[in-house]
Amino acid sequence: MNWSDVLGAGAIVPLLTAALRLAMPIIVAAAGACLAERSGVLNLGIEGQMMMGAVAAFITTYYSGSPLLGAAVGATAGLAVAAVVGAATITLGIDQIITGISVVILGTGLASFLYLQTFGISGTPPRTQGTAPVEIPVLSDIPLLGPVLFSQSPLVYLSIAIVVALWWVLGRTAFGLSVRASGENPNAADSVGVSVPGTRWAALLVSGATAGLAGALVVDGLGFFQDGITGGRGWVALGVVILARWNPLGAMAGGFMFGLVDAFQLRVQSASGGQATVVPYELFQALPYAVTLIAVVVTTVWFRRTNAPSALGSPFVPAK
Amino acid sequence: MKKLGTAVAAAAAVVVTVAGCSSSDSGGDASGDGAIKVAVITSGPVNDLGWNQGMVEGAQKLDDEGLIDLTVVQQDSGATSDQIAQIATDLAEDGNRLIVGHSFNYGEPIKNILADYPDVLFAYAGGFGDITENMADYSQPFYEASFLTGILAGSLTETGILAGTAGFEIPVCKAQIESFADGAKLTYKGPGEITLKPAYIGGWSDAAAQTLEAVNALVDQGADQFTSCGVDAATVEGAEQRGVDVVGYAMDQTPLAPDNVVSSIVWNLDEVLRTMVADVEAGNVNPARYYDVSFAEGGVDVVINPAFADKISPEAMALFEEYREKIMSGEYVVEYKGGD
Repeated sequence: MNWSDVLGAGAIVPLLTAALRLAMPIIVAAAGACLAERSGVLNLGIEGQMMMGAVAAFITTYYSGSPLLGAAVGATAGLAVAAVVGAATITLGIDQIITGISVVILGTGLASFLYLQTFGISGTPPRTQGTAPVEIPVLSDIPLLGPVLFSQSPLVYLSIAIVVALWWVLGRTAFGLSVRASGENPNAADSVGVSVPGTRWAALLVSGATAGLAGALVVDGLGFFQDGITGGRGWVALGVVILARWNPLGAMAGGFMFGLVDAFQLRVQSASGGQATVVPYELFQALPYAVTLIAVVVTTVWFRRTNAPSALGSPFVPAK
Repeated sequence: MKKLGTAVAAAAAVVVTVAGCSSSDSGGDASGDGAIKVAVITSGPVNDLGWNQGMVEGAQKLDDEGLIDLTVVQQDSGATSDQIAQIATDLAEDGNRLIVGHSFNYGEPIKNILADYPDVLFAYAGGFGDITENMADYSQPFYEASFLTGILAGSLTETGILAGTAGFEIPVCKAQIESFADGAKLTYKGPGEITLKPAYIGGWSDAAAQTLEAVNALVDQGADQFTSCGVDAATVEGAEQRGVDVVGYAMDQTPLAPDNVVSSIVWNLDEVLRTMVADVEAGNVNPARYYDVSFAEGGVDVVINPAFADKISPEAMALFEEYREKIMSGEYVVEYKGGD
């Protein structure tokens, strides 16, 4: 095969752009999940929140013609599903893993139901027009970085801004300190007057909203909705959180790496002519997952310990 | 780390096991007294204007005639073997006498429950004559139609690079993509020769974003004519976004991208189902048959988008008609390149 089709000067920008498109939903959902997990709540329901975000964004965009409004409604839908998780796990203290799994089932089924109820079976399947790329003056002229980072959909800029904002909030603000305290030592946080349930609620709702936005990003690029359209990205995002050491900026790097390997394998496969290659195509398809798994192992060994918040997954019961 | 990792892994496993029972749609209202109960399990949305909708509309036609009492269970392509086996079991318990699993992936799970329901005829979309006991297979002779769509593509391509996207490298998909290039070789005048670039995505409707990026990659590498096997929604969308030509799949997909869908491979499933129903009524359930309805027998056809009528050269159009007649009469046999 001709490697310049994948890595040549003319091919590198499309490769990185495709990587960012594939990565962005994972990045934004993982960054939100970092906040929730740092507060001590394991939001396993991300895939369900993404599906609800996707269907809500799609229906809204279809009827309003505005993908930005669609994204806002999508984020709200994700937040609403996260509220179910919050009511069960934070308020009622039900097991976070069981709740998370139930919410994925609920969100996936409900999304499918809403789509069918809205559009039915007849006629042409509905399509929407996604956001058009907006070129940022001057910056978009930078070689390589310009076309990749600064000629994107407004939703991508918004998502990047949200990820950076989450990193700042978590590390540099009083609220961020409360979040970390609630996740590391909720009793200590409680003793100094931090509302652990309140903090966890806020962090979880943010995570739901970012997951909903991630679903909106998926349908924005595709212009259509199908069952299973988020394709397990919610689970990948949960893996990226571990890889990212519970840091939103790390989620940016980890998510992008996954997207890059995925974009790379699709391009290598088509450049090498699919089944004509010596290397089976299944190997290419496994690549993003294999690389992510290796990265998780390597970072864990490298840092010699896990950074997982100590109280992650355990409900907070205030001392009497 | 260990605790969390295990939790995430366990959660993922459970979810794919139970998440699929998302919706079911019972369409049995027009059933007459003699109507036999028939169930269809889809592998994607029933309104995809493609693979699944084609099957549902075909079955609905028989239901409207009062011939069958139809139940449709919508599943997505992420459904696991356990889920499919459970759904098929429930449908058999429910008194359905013909149960059609409309996916290549549903063969193995359904084979495990055959012995429990010896009077029920099961069928799945294997497409290569894969019959076990009371489990039938039905053909997807897309490759014959694909050859004809290739004749049109060969006259339209400027780069000579043709692309085919498919979920997996299964026989029907491989044969369809290879025939597309074979047809194009008849009309392509150069420069160079026809190059075929297949892309196997690794999923069906659950891999839509990857399919879209595969289309982007293929267009970046020069492809300007696409055919698609099972990942049509994202392929047609990608072709529209990039302004290249594409062949519709399983139904007339012109409405999805009126400027880009040159022609569509149309699958007529009502006749296949009708034959299956007749066999069930006659008690011919075991051994099951391979329901092989070819192009010549009306199993598939090609519909050309009227908007392309004057863009396709008259020579290519004439050749298209000529080969269509020859395939119909049996004078020309399209070579099957799907493997053994």
